[in-house]
Amino acid sequence: MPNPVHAPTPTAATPTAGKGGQFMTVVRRLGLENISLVLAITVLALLIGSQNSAFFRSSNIAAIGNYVVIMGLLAVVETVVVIMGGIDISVGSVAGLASVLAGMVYAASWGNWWLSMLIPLAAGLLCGLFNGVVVVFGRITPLIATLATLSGFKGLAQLVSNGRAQGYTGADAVYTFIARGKVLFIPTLVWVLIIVAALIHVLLRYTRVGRDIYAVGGNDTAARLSGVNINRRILFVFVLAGGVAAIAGILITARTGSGQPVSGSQGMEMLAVTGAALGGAALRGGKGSVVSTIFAVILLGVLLNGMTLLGINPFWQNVAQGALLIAAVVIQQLSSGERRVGLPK
Amino acid sequence: MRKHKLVAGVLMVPLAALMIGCSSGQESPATGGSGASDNTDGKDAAGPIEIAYLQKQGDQQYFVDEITGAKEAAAALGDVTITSADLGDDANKAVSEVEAAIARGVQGIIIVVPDQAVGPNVIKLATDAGIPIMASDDAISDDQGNAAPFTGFNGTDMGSKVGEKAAELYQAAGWAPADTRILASWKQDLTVCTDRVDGAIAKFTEIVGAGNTPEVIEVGTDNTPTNAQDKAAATLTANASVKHWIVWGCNDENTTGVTTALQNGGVAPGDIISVGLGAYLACKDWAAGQESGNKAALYISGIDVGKAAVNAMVAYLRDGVPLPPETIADTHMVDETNYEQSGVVCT
Repeated sequence: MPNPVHAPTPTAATPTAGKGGQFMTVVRRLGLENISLVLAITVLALLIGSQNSAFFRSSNIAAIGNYVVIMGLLAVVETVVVIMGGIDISVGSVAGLASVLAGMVYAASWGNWWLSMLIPLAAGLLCGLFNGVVVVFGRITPLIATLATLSGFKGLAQLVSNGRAQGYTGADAVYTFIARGKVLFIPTLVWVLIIVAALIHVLLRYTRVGRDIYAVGGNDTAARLSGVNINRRILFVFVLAGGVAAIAGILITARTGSGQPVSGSQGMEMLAVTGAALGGAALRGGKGSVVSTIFAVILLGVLLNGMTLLGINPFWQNVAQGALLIAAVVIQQLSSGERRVGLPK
Repeated sequence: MRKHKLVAGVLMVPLAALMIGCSSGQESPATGGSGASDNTDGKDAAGPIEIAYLQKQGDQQYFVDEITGAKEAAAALGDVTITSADLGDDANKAVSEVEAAIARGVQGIIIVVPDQAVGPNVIKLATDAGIPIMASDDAISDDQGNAAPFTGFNGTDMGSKVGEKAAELYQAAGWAPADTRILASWKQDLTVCTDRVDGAIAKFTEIVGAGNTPEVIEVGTDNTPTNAQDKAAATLTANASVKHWIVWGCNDENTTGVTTALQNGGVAPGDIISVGLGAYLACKDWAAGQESGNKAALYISGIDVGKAAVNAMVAYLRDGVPLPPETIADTHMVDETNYEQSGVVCT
C-alpha cells in the first residue's frame, strides 16, 4: 500500500498561528526535529564542556567541523536518496574510489590538481548512474543494488590502487588549502559542506525537481499519475549521490595527503544513513530535510569528539552511536501515530 | 560617480573581511596556534600531562594490550592521562583524531597509523601545533623523508626469529621439501607485515639451504583470523596432495587462522609447524592443553611497547630527555612449555 504523500517541506511553516498561538508558529517554522536536535546538541555540549572546558575551545569546534565534513556530505546526499524512498549504502565505496583516483591522476599528471578532481568527479557520477540504472532497469531494490556496489566499487578502488595509498598531494597548494586553509576564519572543508548542503537544500525546497523527489518518495503512483517522470528522477538522485560522494573522496585525499582506497568504506556509509535517519528522514520516503541532517551530523560529531575528550573507552562510541539512532527513530515512529501491530512500515 | 564609489566601498567591506579571515593552510605557526601547548623543546609540562595514544585496529588484542601498558605506565608516573582512540583502518579518521587531540591541547601524541602514507600529514599537523609526535609500531616520516621518533619492533628482525624457529622445527621433523609447503599469510599492502614475512623466508633459507626450502605459497589476507582461515581453506583445496605445512604470517591472527583451516581440512597437528607472531592467540591451544599445529610463537608484548612509548614521551615532556629515534622492544620465542613464565597474557 503506497504511503500518503507528505508535505514536500517538513520544516515549512503554516501561514497562520492557529490555536497554539505564536509559540506553536515558531515551533512549526523551525521544525520539531530541528528544535529537538539543537536542544540535544546544546545539552550534550554543556555536559561535555562541564567535564572538560577544552571542549569549548575554538580549535576544538573547528576540529569537530572538520571531522563531520566527510560524514556530513555523505549524510546530506543520503537524505535525498532516503526522501525519494531509496537508500544508497555504496556512497562510502564511491568516496574511496574517487579518493584513490584523485591521488593517482594527481601523480600521473605531474600535479595537475583540477584534472585530479575532475576525473574522480566524473567517475563518481558514473558510479551513481550505474546504481540508478541497476535499480530502475534491473528492477533491484536500492538496498540490494547498492549493497552489491558497496562491495564492487570498493573492490574496484583496491584493484586500481593495488590496495595501496596512491600519490602525495600534501605539498600541493590547492589541496593544502582545501585540507587546512580557512576562509572567513572557517575551515575550507566546512565551507565545502556548507555550499553543497545549501545547494541541495535549495534544490529540494525551491525547485520542481525537489518537489518531484518528495512526491516520488511519498507516493510514487500518485507522482506518476500527476506527470512526474519517476525513472528520470531516480536516475538523477543516484547520479547526485555519486557526484557528492566523489567530492567527499577528493576531500579525503586532501586531508590524508594521498588517495585512500578504503577510507570511505570503513563504516562511513553507515554513518551517512545514521545521519539521515537521526535527522528525521523517514526511511519509507517522502520526508526529510537537509537542515535536520546537518544538525544530526553535528550531534554525532559532538558525541564522538566528546567521548574521546573525556577518555571514554572507544568501544563505547559504537554503542552510543547505535543507541542514539534507535532512540531517535523510536521517538519518530511513536510520534507518527502508527499502530503497533506487526512489522513497521 | 558618487554612486560608483559607494558601491565599491560596500563591496570592499566583505572582501576585506574575506582577506582577514583567509588562510592558505600552508603557514607553519612557530608556536602552538589552535590552543595547543608548545612542547617542541620539552620541559614545559610541569603539571598534569595528557597524551593522546591513537591506534589503528584498536580492537585487536595486541593494541588493547598496548593501551593497557600505556595506562599502567601513566599511573606509575603520576599525573599523566592517556586518552585513546581507535582509528580502525581509516586514514581520514587518523587526521581527524590528531586534529581533535591538538585542539584540546594534549601535550604529546603517540600514533599507530592505519596507513604509513598519512605520516607526512599527521607529522605536519603536530609540528605546526608545537606538539611532539611519536610513531608506535609502524614507522612514519615527514614529507622530507625524516622519520618521526619510533617505538616498537624491528619487523625484519622479528621475521628472522620466526624463520629461525620454523627452520629448527622443520629440520627436527625431517620432512622432505617436495612433500611440504610454506604458507605465508599477511596483509600484503602493509610494509611492516611484508618486512616480517621477508625476514622469515630469508632466515629460513639461510639455515636450511635453498635446495631444501619448500615451495612458498603466499596468501593475502586482511590480518584477521576469519579471513586467514577462509583463504587457507581454499589454498588447502588447491594443494590437497601436500603432506606437511609450515605456517607463518604477519601476526597471530594469520597463523592461528591458517592453522585452524588446515586442521579443519584434515591435516593432522603433527603435520603442521605454525610459528606465530604475538603469542596471544597461539597460547589458547596451549592453555587448553590441546594438540595443535601452533608449535611456537614470537612473543611481542603490546604492554611493553605501550609502556616504553609513554615513558619516553613523559621523560621528554618533563625532563627534556630527547625522544629516542628508535626504541626497539624485546621479543622472546615461546611455546607451550614456557609461555606463562614469559608473561604472555592469555585471556
